[in-house]
Amino acid sequence: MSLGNLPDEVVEQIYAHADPQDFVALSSSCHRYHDLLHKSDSQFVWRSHFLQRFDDPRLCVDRLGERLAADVSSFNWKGEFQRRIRVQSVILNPHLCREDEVPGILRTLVSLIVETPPATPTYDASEISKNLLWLSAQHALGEFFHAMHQLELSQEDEQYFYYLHVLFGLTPEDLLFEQLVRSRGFVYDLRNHTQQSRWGPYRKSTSRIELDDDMSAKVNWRHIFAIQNIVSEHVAVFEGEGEERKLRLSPLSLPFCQAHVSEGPRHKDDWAGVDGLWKCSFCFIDHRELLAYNRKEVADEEERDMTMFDDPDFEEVFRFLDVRFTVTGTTANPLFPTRPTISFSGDIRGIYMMKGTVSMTAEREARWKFSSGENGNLIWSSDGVQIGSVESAFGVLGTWSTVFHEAGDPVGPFWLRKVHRPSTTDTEDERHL
Amino acid sequence: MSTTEDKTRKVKLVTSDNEEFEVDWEVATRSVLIKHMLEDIGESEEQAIPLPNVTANVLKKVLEWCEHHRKDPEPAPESSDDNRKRTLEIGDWDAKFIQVDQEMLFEIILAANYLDIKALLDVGCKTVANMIKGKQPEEIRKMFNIVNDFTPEEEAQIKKENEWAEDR
Repeated sequence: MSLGNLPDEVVEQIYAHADPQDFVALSSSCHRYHDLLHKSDSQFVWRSHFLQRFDDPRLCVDRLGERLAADVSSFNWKGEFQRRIRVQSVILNPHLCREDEVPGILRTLVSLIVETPPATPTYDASEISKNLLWLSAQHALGEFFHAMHQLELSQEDEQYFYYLHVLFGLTPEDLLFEQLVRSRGFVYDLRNHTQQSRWGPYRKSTSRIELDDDMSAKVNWRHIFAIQNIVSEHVAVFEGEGEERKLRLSPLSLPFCQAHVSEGPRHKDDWAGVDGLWKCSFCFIDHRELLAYNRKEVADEEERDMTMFDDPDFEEVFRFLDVRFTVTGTTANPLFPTRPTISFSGDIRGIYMMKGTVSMTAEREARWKFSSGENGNLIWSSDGVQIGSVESAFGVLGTWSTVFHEAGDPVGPFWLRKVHRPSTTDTEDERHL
Repeated sequence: MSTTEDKTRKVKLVTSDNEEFEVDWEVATRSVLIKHMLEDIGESEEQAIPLPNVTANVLKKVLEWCEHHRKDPEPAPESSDDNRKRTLEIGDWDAKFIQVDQEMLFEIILAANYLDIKALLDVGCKTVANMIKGKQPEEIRKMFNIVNDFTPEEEAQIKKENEWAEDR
């Protein structure tokens, strides 16, 4: 009696119990074990390993609300599993990463985070995305980001790098004061807030036709990263001081990327979960300081003198308002028939003070654009994107300014987050997080 | 069929080498195969269950496991094979129980598969998985007397195919 006497289905069970590196070694020992793994139509071993670690693709939805797999047979379990294990190895040992792999690895990581199963209003432990749990367990991600940062990335890859970084949240390196200074230096730099960047956190374009087309907006994830950094400073919970400072809890991080469908009535075409109560937070600095920071002419790629943000007396104000959003209508989006552009209005205790739209851009980001003000005087203009899955608890990050877009107008970052119906255990403070 | 009756009820099992075992219903029905056979013959019959694929020395060992796990909760029938957790570590008692030679280990695995005792099959397969942990193909061949039937070209091809799993 030996291993060779076991029927195929039992050997498959052994494969299912072994770690990938180990079952690969067994499959390389002779033809029988090789073919059992690689020529099985059912992909049992691959599927079993995949589902032990990752979200079931039959439950995962993409940006358009489509399932990643309709049924067992319409998913490449082997290919997807191999791709993800490769990503894991590279996270642990960044030096393994070949240059030509970088784009694929960054994109795989992003899709792991933004394509997960949506959680119901109850959001019990069984609904927590396995993908996100798996990623949270990759403790070397911080070092991986650091290693990626040292590489010469193409513009596109650099965007994916920041995209991934935003989804993941702040790393220990980002908690250093210098990083916050750099982020403020970026967001309050009026050169990053121009018509070319659509007065929002978007990549610059010089094409008139492109700028006239709202759907063609491409997110500038470096900008969003800076906004996240600034907002986190006001809303996250930290421990310790200076270089010892640690992040204990941040609502702008990986666990909040999963869609959390809200309770309550909603418009039939409200794919973005607009209807409901939202917390609208924003930051600003003294207008004279903003102008002083931007006064000096500097070359395009040159950084401004950021010592102002380094000053112990520098102050940034953080405020928030609870606003009720109501969908007022939809218009067809020619790119995505199932994702019409949603129009909404916002009020605070019945007083109208906001109107805007949520649209799906060509790169499949949910873009929120709205103007706000008091007494029907909508003078503030805001523009941003939903982070993570559509309807994520992470919310929307973007920038605000005035509707006039005049030189020297104030600017600042904002964060919109849906307020879920308070449960009995929630305190006001916890809900704010 | 009430639980109290089940507890007192005895079941007779006959192995391929014609040895008879009399065990408690609760112990015997750890095996889904035996459970279904008992359901088929009904409880009034005092019929012995033939197990033509299991020898006495293996059944003895398997029943030792069933006896120890007689009170374990039944696995949920709806938990599909796909989602079954396979990374669970082997418990202390099971680890000691499964410290047997390779011959017996594979006999137990085969019997667990035939008798349909999922938890025991898991212990066996996990044990084999632990045996190959960190091993190279050549070491695995030696351990299980596997003959390398690949040509050098095939070996090179396989090495390439396995690049995704390289982790150092």
